[in-house]
Amino acid sequence: MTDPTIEDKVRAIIVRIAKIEAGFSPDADIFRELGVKSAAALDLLLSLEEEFNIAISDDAFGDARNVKKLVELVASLQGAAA
Amino acid sequence: MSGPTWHAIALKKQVDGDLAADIEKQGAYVSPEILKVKVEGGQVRFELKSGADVADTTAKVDRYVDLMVAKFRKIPRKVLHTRERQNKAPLRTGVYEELKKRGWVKELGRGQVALAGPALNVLRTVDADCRAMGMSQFGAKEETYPTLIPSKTLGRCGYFSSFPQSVSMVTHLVEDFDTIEHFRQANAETTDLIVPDPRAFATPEACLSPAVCYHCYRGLENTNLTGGPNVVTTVGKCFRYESTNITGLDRLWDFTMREIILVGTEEEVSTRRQKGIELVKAQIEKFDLQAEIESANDPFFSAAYATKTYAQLRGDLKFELRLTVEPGPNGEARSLACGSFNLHDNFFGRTFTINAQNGEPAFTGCIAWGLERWVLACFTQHGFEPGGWPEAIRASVWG
Repeated sequence: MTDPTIEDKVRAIIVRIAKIEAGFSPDADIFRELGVKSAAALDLLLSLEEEFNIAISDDAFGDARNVKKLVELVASLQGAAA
Repeated sequence: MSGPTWHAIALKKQVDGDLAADIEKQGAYVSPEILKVKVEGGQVRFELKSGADVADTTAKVDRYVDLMVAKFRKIPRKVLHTRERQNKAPLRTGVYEELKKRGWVKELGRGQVALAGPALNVLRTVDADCRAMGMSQFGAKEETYPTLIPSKTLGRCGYFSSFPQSVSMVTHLVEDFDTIEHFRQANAETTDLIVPDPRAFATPEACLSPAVCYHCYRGLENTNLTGGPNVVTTVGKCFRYESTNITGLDRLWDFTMREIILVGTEEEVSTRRQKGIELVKAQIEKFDLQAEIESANDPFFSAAYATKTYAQLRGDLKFELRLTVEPGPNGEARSLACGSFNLHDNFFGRTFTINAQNGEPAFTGCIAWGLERWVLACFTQHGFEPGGWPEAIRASVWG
């Protein structure tokens, strides 16, 4: 069994926080299209920071509204920290 | 017998001035034994009534502060506009007492006032200005709404999970002859309300409206806005229980709110909110008021505080018009939120199945004025002589 990718972990966090089904499009707007409440944004942000041990700025997080962009954001921050 | 005593818990992380102010304000709801909450020097200090259970209340304060602080993430405030008044006379002090002395404000209960004379004229002048703005600048239609709101509607609006501390519920005696007769007999010889058995109260089917716009969204349930945005203006009484924070005209339990309510596509609503901000800038010129318009958050309770405040501030969902009022007891500058400019994303569109012209769940927003606070700000900034008032409103206030 392969290790979970960044995308696997991001998806798992979204599913846990938003209590939605797993198979959503990586391009779907988390808040508008997946119906995740805006109040869940902070939990999502804090969970991503904890899971990947990174600090995410509010502006960068605000621009990353789908899985694809969140994965790119996490990867870029991990790369910057490496 | 000993008097009130001060106690403290340590803050687990540093808090800024905004969060400290909210911890102090909402501390009123932690326990009836608490007289005051202060955030000072890395501690939350609280004053307890004589005879209070210190251990129990301290544990409660600890749980409360932990939920407020643990997840809190600071979003810097944005100041959109600052205005100094032309009137260079010093700010009046003791305004509320002076209004009462003149009989223009009558205190009829805790957080409940009557207005008369020029104070009532100020409220009506502001309201007429806002109403005219709604109708002439936004093409708003007028509606009136009940003072009561079904508990079911407030629940669907998420009010009970966000602001349970401030809900005013309306109940009545259950329809039971023995219960009503028991209550009647208990109250026959007294002028105070006696509740012989709390089970005599029915679960509140209705509440007193905490804002007027909820009625509008409920009224549009299952509607397709095929003709473009729906804009309504309305004025009504609103009720928010403020516990020990109830103060003069600063913080009433029963107050008057004028709103312009916006329902449409995201663009229709957000451009109109921005237009409202620009129009209110002109309004405070006309009223010659010292003011600021800045980002803000609602008083979400407990665990909802950090998450919803973050969403609100990050999304620029709320701006407040803050008018300068008289300085505090130590001479510190003070202002009060006398208006707000709000976006709710498409929450109410989804909740009440309202679709905008593009077929998507409608976005909503509102521009709101708290009218009694305008009365306080106007008398603070312009005084009690007609000559100190701006010409544009002098005649309508002073005759």
